[in-house]
Amino acid sequence: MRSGPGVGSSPPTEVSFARRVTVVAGLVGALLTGAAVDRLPGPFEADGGAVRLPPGMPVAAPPAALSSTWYCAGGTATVGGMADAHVTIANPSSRPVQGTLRVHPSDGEARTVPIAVGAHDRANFRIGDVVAAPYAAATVELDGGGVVVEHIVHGPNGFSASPCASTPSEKWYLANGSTGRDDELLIFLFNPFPEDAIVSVAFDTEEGRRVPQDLQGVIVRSGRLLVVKPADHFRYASVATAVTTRRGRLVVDRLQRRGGTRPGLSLALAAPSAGPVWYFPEGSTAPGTDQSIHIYNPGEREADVDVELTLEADSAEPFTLKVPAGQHTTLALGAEDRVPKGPGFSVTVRSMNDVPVVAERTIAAATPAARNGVTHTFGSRVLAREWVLAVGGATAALAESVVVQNAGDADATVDVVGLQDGREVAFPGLQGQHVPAGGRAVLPLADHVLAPGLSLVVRASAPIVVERTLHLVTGVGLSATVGIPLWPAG
Amino acid sequence: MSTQAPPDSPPHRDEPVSQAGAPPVVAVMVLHDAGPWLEESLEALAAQDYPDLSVLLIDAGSAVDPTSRVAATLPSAFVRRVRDNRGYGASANEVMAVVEGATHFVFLHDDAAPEPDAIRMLVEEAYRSNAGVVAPKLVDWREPSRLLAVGGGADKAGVTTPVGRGELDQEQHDAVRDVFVAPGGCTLVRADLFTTLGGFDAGISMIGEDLDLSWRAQLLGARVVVAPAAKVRHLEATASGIRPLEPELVQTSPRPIGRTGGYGVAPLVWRHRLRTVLKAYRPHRLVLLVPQLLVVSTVEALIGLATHRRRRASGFVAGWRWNLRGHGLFAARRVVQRQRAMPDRALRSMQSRSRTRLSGQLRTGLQADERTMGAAGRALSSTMRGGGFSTTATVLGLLALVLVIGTRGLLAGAIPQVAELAALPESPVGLLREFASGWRTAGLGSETPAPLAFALLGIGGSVFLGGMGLLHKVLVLGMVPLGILGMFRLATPLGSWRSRLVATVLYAAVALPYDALARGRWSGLVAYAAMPFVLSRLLRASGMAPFGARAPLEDAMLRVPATPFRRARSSDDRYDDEVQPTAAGGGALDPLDLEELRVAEVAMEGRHHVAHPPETDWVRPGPKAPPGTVAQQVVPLSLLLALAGAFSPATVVATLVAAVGLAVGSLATGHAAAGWRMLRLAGAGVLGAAVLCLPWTVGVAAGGWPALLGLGPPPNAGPSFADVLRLAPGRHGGELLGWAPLVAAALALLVGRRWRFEWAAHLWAVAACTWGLCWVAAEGWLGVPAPALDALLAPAAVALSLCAALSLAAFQVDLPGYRLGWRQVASVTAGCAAVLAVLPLAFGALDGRWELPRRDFAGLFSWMPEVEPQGSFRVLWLGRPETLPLAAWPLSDGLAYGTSRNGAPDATSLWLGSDRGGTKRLGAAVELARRAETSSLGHLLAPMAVRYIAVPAAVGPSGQGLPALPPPADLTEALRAQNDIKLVGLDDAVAVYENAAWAPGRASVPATVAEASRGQWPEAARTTDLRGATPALSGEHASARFEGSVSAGDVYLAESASARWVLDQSGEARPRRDAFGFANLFERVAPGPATLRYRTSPWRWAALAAEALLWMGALRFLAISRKRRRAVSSRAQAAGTAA
Repeated sequence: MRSGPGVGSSPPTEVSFARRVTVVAGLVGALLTGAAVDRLPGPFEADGGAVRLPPGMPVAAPPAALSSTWYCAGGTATVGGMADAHVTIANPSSRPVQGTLRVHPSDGEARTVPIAVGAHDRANFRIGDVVAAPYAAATVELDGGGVVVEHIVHGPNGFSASPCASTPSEKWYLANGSTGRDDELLIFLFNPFPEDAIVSVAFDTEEGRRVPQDLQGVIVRSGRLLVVKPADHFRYASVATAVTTRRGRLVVDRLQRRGGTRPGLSLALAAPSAGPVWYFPEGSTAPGTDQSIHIYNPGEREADVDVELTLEADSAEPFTLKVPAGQHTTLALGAEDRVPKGPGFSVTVRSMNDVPVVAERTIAAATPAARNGVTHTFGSRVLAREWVLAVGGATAALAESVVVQNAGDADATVDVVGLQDGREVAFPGLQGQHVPAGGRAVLPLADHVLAPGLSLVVRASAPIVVERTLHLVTGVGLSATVGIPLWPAG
Repeated sequence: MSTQAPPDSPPHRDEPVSQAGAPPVVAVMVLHDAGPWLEESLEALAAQDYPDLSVLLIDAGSAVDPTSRVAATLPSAFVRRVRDNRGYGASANEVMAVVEGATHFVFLHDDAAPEPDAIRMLVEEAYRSNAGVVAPKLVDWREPSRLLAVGGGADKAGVTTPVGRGELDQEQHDAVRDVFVAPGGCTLVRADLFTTLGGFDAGISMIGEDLDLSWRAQLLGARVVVAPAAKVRHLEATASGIRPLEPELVQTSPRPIGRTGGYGVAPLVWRHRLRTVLKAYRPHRLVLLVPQLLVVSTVEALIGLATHRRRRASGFVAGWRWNLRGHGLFAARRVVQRQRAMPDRALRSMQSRSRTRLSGQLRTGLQADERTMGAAGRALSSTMRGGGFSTTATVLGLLALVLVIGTRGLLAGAIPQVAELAALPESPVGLLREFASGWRTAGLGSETPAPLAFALLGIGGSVFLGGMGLLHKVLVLGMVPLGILGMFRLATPLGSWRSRLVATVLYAAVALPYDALARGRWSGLVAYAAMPFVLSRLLRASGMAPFGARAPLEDAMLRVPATPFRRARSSDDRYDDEVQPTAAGGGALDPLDLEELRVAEVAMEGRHHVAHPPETDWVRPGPKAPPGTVAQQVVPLSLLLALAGAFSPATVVATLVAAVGLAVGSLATGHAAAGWRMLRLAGAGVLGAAVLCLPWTVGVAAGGWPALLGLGPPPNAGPSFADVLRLAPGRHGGELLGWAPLVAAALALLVGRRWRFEWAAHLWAVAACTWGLCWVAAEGWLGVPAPALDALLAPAAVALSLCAALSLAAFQVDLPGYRLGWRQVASVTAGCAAVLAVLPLAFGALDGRWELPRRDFAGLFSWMPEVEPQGSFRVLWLGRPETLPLAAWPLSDGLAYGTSRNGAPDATSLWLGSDRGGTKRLGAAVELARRAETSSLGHLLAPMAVRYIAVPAAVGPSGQGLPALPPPADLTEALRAQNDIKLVGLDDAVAVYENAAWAPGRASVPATVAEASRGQWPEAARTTDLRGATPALSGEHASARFEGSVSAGDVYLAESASARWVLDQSGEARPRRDAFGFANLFERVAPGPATLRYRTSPWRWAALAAEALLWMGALRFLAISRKRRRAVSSRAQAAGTAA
């Protein structure tokens, strides 16, 4: 490198017109190109990422997960209780999992027992065997993923199964409930986390919003279960509930016991968030069966909601509802003429103005229906290719059906396999079931297999929604529950 | 010895000097090593029409006898040779010894050429006005139409102001009037008065004798008048440096300084002025004046020291010392006071006001010693010379005022610890220890060299006497003024004070630094401050005018004669392609040279004794010094980059980008060689900086892009292309007004000619390359995490500002050459844009803190140290990088993580350490949680002593109007899904989780834990309950040395595993093994006191020694090379003059 004054310097020269134009044009061109490219979607803006689950929806952790935890809030743990709780763990993965079952009684100290579930297997644990308490919740902590946990309660008024929660939430919603004269509504507030939770509970009743003072700012201590009985405050046939934490996290279950002419027992994990779309694969208004859709709008804007029916044959105009802010409404499908009596159908609840809502379905069946009981079920907010139904079984006394709703745009081929004796069992007649786009299918299990305790895995070639119905062939007992998707949900 | 040439008999005091009827007058010309101008001066004397004029030439010790030269031109002159050169005054006083009978003496310099009637006019006016001293109109030697002085004024401190200096002579000062000073060069003095006064003050060797004589004459009651009808051309060869000063005459400046190649004139001016003042005033006046002079000289000295001009600073001190030591001062004062006939107050009315004194003082001080000036002084001096002092001072003052107003809230209060503005550690010694130890505490710790910044901050803290808070404030708030000063200096070669102002003000107005301040991006501030200095060096290396080349003085004098100037100005103040002025050498004359010449010379008001000569190249755009040898270019740049890069490594990358841009510009303008030189220098500078920063450089390289560039917002949340263009990656910078600098900068491309256009193309290429890189990086197209843009955008800010200055130059010089059309419209638009570009700065200053938050996370976390007695812990910071108050490692989707210890991070966390060892597991644990692959994050983090997880969603606490920068949604979901961490409610803008499974970083652990720790993380961590651990070794004496008691059993250390961790008990090291695959466990520990320390590697000490040697060598080289370059320049000047 030479140096010094003037070294290498060029004498000043006049700028030619061509050079000026070249430089200016090059610069302007570069800037314009940049501006044009800037308007194109960037590589990170394209929508190609994995399907994300709605927050709080139960989902199995990825199979490679280091650990996963499930929270089961509702149930009783006394002999002869109204809702004797069991926890059922289904492990569709190819490796066994170990972990702990920690039971939190409503009074007394929590107790932990080790558990193990083999690969392609299931395990069932009775909560009352671990602790004895009026009410109890459970935490299932496992050293792996790909496992789903449900809980089931049994009692004089029947039985009911529900997914346990895979994550906590700060808000929980229930679109329905009854504190009527013969009914009992229990809301389980379960805090298995290190911090205390400060909770407020509000209700939307037939007579408007009710905010019991003693349910405001309630402290749910770390590791404790608190059971709320709204009937202590009011009695209404239709109640929607919002549980909000000012601090901390919770898992909320609802246990509804129905009495009167249509007794039943229904357990449900509350909805951790509202959403724009809810899917209900099962639907029927056969004689003796009443089906209602309950829609709760916990937001601050009125929701315009369409209730769409997917009939096995024919079609029906959707129902259009307006749900005021903070209120809930019920659509009794059985009373609607446009709903055909007899054939099954699926229901999709869709918020047309993107105001998130919570949708729940009630099926109440009695003679002359083949089923007898009451079940309250939250719909699914997601479509997935792989679903697990942990609870279930088909025997001479128990009938189980898998109901598939294909709400997507592509036809789906569905396979149903069972987890038996450490292996997946593909049942003849439940493989390669074709479900057209926008269609539904009901797959009665008893037609193909009889097994008392059977967890199922439903796999499809396209995203679907899977629901399981269980009912006693004789006696009161009806449960319908949407399955738990495996990760990734898409 | 006196000689006459010929006749060789000297004039005798008994002989009349004239036989004519007119009063006899003797012209006394003092010679000393006269240059080629002597003949012209003698010819002028020979042409005088005064009938009774004798010429006496007093040769003051010239090396070569000038008699023959005198004889050839003015044979009638008398020559008296004096053996020694005692200075002008003492030599001139010889006239009293050798001449008798003359009524008047006319004292002339050997570079003064009176018009033929000049002496006659002076004599006539002396009689007409009954004046004791008469001064002629002094005009430029080469361009007589240009005034040097028509008399002069002075203020009470003796600061003189020549009248009309630099102006075109339009007879605007052609009135006979009293003046306070008869400027030297040519002065008529009544002989009897001269004798009564005792002649010139022999103690004033040179420069200042005219003031002294005039002052004493007036004290005696004599009038001092100026007779403009008498016209004298004056070269000012000595004051301008054409003739070197004589060392023996200027003892105040013992070392060569100044462009004269001899000794600086500024100390002489000060010294002799002081002498005159101390002689002239009554004691009671001096009591009032001396303190003022002391203050002035002290300020000057401090400025000199601050600008690294130690010799100049010492000159002001030496001036006092010289006078107080005597040198005849007291005797001379007694004579003056005995002779005085006028009170001081009578003279005071004739003196100038103080403003003149101040500006003159500045001019005198700052102009005189051009080459030795530091950056600031040189820049300011140039501005003064350019005549824009008032405007420059006003604008810079306003700018400073705006900055002070905009920063008032930060000047008065503490700097909030936002993002990279984390507080410095309390002890500089601790920083130096951490620098030396070789153990970095970032993350889970690593055996990587500490950043050089630790050492620099430690040294800085020591200089500030441990005032780390003050140091922090200076380092944060000083960056903006430093950058502005750098820009002012960078624009110096443009030669136009207006252009420099435009560059400076626009650089001050760009949103970049205030945006960086608002978001706490210290690295951006550092780059903003450093980049003008860096680009200055690159531009000089180009060898292209005006930054890299400037014609030597002689060439300039030949190439830019007066004729073309007049020709250019005669064409109705405009030129076009057809009326292009030409240089005498035949080459085209740069229009800007002419324009700047006009601007500068018209406004040139410097004191004539120390003013620069009227050579046209004084205002010719160009650098103040040649770029020097390769090493002289590379070493300073390396040092500069090492210093800046130590605090902001991205500055180094920005330098390379700028160099690439310059190279592209060079290709586009046909100066590929220049581009190559700049690119090469940048590469060498970066390499040199990397060497100077060794071994930290290796760590930075290993850290990859995040360590080098920092982390910016995720691609979807980053600045848009428009934001990048407007240099506003954050909140500052108006949407519309943000485009104004670009508009202003565009004009040079459109209308600029010659080097204005060429450099505009270079600078736009720099801006384009910078924008391109920033935008592509921000979009995530580089395949690396999006970097922080604050530092990378700095070259574009410099380029645009400088380009705007070129636009003004093009407007001044090139635009008149075009016929009326779109260019004029574009010029008006650009001008308006330049004005509008300043508005966001004014608006931004209103809140007094540039939108920097008032509260910080450190305040929120102030309680954390109180829980430290429960055991040392870490805080895991998770969030978008721009919200984190520390350097962070990237995770997916724009998430980043880092750790602090026992509370909020301090500045030691601002440099990314290695993520080798255990640190990567921090990120792995978080990713496990985000993928829903664990619900036990707390357990996974427990062996890492992570007690708290902080997730900020803004750069500061809520309630301050800060923009929300939430972390990826899945992070919050993942954390809320964990069953062993809990949310601690602190603030809406930061979620703090506490790890329920946490264990202390230094802990005695049960045997079960010790056994479990043989497993590998994460499996072993998930199943191990560390809550039974008890804190140990609680005394922290340094970042890698702990003392305290331990329990029996095993001691766990949550630092990355290293065999250099030693647990001493009674002088015996306990066995160590890895725990959980990444940490340390000391086994078989006995209960009682113990010491845990990290043994620094001998290689680290060797590296430190090598690093210190490198720095000392580089600094030594820098000092030596500066001296040599000055010497070379001086010799070159002297040689040029002689030629």
